[in-house]
Amino acid sequence: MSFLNSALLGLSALFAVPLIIHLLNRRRYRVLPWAAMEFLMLAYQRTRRRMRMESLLLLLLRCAIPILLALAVARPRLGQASALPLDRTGSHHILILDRSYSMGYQEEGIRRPFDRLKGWADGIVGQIAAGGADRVSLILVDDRVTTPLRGELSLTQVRKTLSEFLAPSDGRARLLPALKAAQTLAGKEEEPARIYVISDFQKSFIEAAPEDPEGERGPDSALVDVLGDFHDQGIPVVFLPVAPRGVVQNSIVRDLSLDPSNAVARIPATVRATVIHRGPAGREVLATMTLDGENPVNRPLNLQPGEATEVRFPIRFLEPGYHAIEVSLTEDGLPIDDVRRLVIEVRDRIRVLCVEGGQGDPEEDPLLRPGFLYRNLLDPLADLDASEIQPGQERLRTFDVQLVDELRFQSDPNYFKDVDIIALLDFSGPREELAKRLKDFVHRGGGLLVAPGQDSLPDLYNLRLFRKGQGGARGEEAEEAGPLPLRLLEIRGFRGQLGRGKGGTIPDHYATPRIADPDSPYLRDFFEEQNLDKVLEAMPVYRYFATDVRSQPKATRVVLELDQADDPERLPLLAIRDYGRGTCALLTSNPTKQPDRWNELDQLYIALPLLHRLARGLAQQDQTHLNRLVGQALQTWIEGIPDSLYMMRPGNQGRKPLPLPLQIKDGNARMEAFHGTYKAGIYRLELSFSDKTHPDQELLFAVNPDPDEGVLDYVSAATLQQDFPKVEIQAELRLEKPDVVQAGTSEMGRLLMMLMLMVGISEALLAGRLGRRRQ
Amino acid sequence: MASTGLTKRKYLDPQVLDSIKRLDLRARLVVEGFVSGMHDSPYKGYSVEFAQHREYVQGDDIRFVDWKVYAKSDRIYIKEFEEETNLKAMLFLDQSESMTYGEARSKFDYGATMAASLAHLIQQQHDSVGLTLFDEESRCTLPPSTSRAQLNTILHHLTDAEATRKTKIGDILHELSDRGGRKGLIIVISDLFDDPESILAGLRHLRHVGHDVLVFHVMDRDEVEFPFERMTLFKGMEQMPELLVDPKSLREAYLKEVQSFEESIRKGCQALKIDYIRTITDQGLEVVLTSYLAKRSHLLKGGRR
Repeated sequence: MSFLNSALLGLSALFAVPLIIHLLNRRRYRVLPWAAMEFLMLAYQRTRRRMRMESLLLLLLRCAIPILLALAVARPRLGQASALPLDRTGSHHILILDRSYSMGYQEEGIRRPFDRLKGWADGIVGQIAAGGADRVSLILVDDRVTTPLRGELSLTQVRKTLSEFLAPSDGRARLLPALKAAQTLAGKEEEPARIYVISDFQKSFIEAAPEDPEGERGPDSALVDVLGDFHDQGIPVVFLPVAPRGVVQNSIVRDLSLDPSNAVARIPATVRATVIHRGPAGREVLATMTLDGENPVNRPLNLQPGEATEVRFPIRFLEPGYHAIEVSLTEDGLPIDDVRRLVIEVRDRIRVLCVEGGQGDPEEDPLLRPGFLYRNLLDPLADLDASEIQPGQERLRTFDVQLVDELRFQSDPNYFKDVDIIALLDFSGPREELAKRLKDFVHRGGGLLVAPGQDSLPDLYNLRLFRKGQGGARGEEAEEAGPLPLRLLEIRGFRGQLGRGKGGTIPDHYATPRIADPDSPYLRDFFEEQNLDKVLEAMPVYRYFATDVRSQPKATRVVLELDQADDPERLPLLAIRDYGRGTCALLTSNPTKQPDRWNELDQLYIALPLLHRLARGLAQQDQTHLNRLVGQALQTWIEGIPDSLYMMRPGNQGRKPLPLPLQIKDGNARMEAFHGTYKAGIYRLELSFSDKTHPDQELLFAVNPDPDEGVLDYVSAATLQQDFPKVEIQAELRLEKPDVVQAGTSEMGRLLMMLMLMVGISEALLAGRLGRRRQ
Repeated sequence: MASTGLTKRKYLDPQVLDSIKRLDLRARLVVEGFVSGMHDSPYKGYSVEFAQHREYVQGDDIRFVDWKVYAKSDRIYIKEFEEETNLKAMLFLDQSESMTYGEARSKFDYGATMAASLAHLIQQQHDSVGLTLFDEESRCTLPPSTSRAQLNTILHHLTDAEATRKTKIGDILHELSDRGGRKGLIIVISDLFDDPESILAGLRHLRHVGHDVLVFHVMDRDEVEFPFERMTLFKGMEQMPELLVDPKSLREAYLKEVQSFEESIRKGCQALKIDYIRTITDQGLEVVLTSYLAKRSHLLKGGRR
């Protein structure tokens, strides 16, 4: 026997009250000398037995009342072995309800899975005996798991909660976390639990989170383990699939991206959207793109079943700042995934700081210095007014280049402000403080180009930008030590005076670049423009820094390498390494116009596309923090320290004040993570600065539904039964009689309450009878 | 309490004397208002008061021939007169411990007052009156006397009485019967807390020897109604055990016992032609005596006619 409210058993101690009263009464008496004692003794002897019996019975009845009352409110429960024909109650029904957005699929002639879910949930609650001892817990699962009811006894409250909380959300659902929550709930209550899972049972619902998108997927092994635990504990689990019946078709805007991703104002770009279609037949739809909700651009699409279709929209951002791109399809049965949004932070121009190292010859023509070459290549129209720029030349206004010498850069941290890329050209080597700043700069999303030259000290680079010690650290420690892609070794190649100027010679032996990674996005322009890759491979490289490819970190990718017949080792020319949210590039042979040039890569037709592509790659902004899925947190760095932050939810769902940021670094602040992304749409973060150091701003975040949820790839009941043999699958809800549903327990609370009432009535009758007799 | 008063009276201090005086006064007050004549005598003979005529038979004393009737009717009739005997009354008062019960007025006080009143009454009638105080044995016996000092002697004995012992009324009645002497009036004043068979046997013995017997059964209101509510430890008098009990639960059975006892005594007395008067100590004594004596006188007169 167990008790539903075992704590209330303590009330049974009240049985002592009548006893105490009885004993107290016996202790409190008057003493009376009595003459007619003989009559009294005779009367006592004649009535003694009956009086004792009546008193004992009355006392027992009075003692039994509190005991029965305590037992009744503690609600004892007999096990299945009880043969008593009692009202069987006392189960803990845990309903796991899938409220992901796929449950809202609605097509003409097909009942919405969500409506079937509600009907079935109501049906299950309806068969629970009202006023009984059954508890109901509700677990709503989408991108998060919520339990609005835990062990609720009131069926009215359960129905009210079902009606209030149940509506398809914008999130996706996985079963495993919900079952773990159910496991916790089942462990907290004493009643035997019974778990019902009502869902459309898409594959994604029961499969593990994909590590390898192309890999073979099946039921989540952890899920099978949890279900096995339930089976071992004797907790029945019932799957109630409510997938729509009939022909299901759905189109999804799966991916949305900008090419190039680092958008610059006034520079044309392309919006790429990938649309997939699921259904038995093709479908013609109209794809529409808007920028900040305006200027819709339409594209008709002919979607084929199971195929991904890419649609492109040209776009040009007139103003820098945050912009929202939205691509939508003609609405279908699941409208939420017919729209996808992308937020882009558009820069006015990509700001490049070229740091020139090397003392060089004071009389040297400054136009021959590397900084001047880089500036001319990246910003060839710098000296022209905007009116002088011809149409088609906008791409050449992408970069804004500043030059600074090494000494100033080493000592002044302000150069790190308002810059997207730092290029260290023939830089001797960073001091320790500067190295820290450089690492932090890259880590937070900046681009770093390292192009060492004659005056560079490789040991300093290795020490401060590659790893902490000389050859000590390996693996992840080395990767975390600094952003430099490769360890620098010695300078190799031709060591004499080159033929350009002052009568130098052109060496017979030189290396030539070779494309090591044809898929690298840093070389995309080469494949698109006039076979530049072939030309690049013919450019001589006379001198270069050898690198230690054996200590190459995992994140390092060699894009270009040198083909040098005399040197059998692999000789990277351009290596890229992602470091934090930024990127660092190492160019082992620096193009210059100086007489003792190291290569011929300064040729305009090669250098221009190569450097532009490289610089754009380095200025690649990680915009994933601006584009999240439903349920994921929003968080970003803010320039300046705001006085107030407000988050505007999509669809005018309220303006929520956010706590002021606590993490502040170099005058920038990191906002506290915002977790309330329950709805898909554009979220707006309003910032205000009372000190007017920064203008009030509005930051945008795009929150999209997880496209996997819209695939509508349902698992059949037969497959479910095969995958989960220990689970009961009910393709149709079978409403069982209460004594079947609640089998296993017998709750005796009401019986005891009735018994207590009967005892109370008996006590009153007996006490009344005795009272009348005594009068 | 009665026992405290009794202890003090034993030494005849002023309070004792005052108590005697009060008793005397009390008895007088009670007697006044109903005394109009003397006790009827159960014997008829040649005395002062004419009773009836009857025909002369041989052997009758010719002194009692009514010559006037002979002259008128020429028949000889004898005048019969009621005998005027000197009543010899014996007050027989229970002084056992049980008679001390009673909060406002103990049964003994009530009985003593009754005895004093009757003694005063009897002496007023120039009859002789005596007193016997008893418990388990006879404690004090004053032979009947008509002297003026007899009443004071009786009062002194009443005030000196000490009630501490058990009672054995039956034995005492037998003892009284065995003393012999002239038949007279025996007035028993007691709560009769003894075996009813024994009591009735004693009374039967008294009747057998020719005494006229009067039984005043003195009870307290508590003993008749048993009105107690709270848990009570009843401490038995006369060496009876004590009993802790809820009085309410016993009331019904107790009252049955008391009624049964009274009924048996009453019926026994009725069979023996003994006047049985149950009195309760909160009843006015003058009322009890007046109503009884008037009734008795009426009955005696009716019976004589």
